Amino acid sequence: MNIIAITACPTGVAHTFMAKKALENAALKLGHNIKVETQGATGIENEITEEEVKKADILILAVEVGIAKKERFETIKKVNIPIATAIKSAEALIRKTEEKLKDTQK
Amino acid sequence: MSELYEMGVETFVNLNFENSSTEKVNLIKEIAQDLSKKMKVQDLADSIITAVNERERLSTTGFGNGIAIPHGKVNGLKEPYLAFYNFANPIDWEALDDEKVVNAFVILVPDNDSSDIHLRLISTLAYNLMDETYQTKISTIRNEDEMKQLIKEMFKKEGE
Repeated sequence: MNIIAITACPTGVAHTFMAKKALENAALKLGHNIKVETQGATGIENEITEEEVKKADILILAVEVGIAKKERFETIKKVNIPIATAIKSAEALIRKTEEKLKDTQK
Repeated sequence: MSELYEMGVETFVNLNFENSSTEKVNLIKEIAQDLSKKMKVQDLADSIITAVNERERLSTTGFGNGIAIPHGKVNGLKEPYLAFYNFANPIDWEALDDEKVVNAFVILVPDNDSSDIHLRLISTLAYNLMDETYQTKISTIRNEDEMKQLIKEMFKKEGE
């Protein structure tokens, strides 16, 4: 899968970046491509481009605050999760997402 | 972010810190007193305690895997500090994974600092602390120079 993800948390610092790393680790381990944009206290970092949205199969939103530049993602399939889920069980999350995607493609 | 050191973040490493308290609030007092002594400036222990507790009240900085990142903006502080502590006695930090905390990275910045250096320090640390290789190194390195080297390395690899 080509995964894009956004992480953001209310205080905007630690959890945002922990979730980013956890998602990257899990995707790498399961053999998927991933790009994680952070919308933290230091602003948008590693911003997802339009081209990347086009190529992506799924958008994972691990956010607990409103996100900026939402209009980029109107057409793509989305999974919404609490940021703690991304940190604690990113692997299970990505596995589940993959299964769901396969089901919808049948 | 290798500019961490160019920006002059003073770094302390305390391995096997003999803490007498294993409860967060009292432990923070111990760290504050220890750091204030090491900083060799006026006594900032009270300001450190206030700043760190204020942040802990928002939500725990015990982010799991036995590691905490207590931090705060300290009144009277002149430059940013990063201190690593390994505790002889594990702390009840109300951590996210309920594990006791044995290692802490303390980040203190001046309260009138308008830069985002503390945010960048915290975000880089939080990111790297999810890395199993770093987790292992942090819990096994018991040599001060090696630990300083590791900290330097972590701040060189921000996000990439």
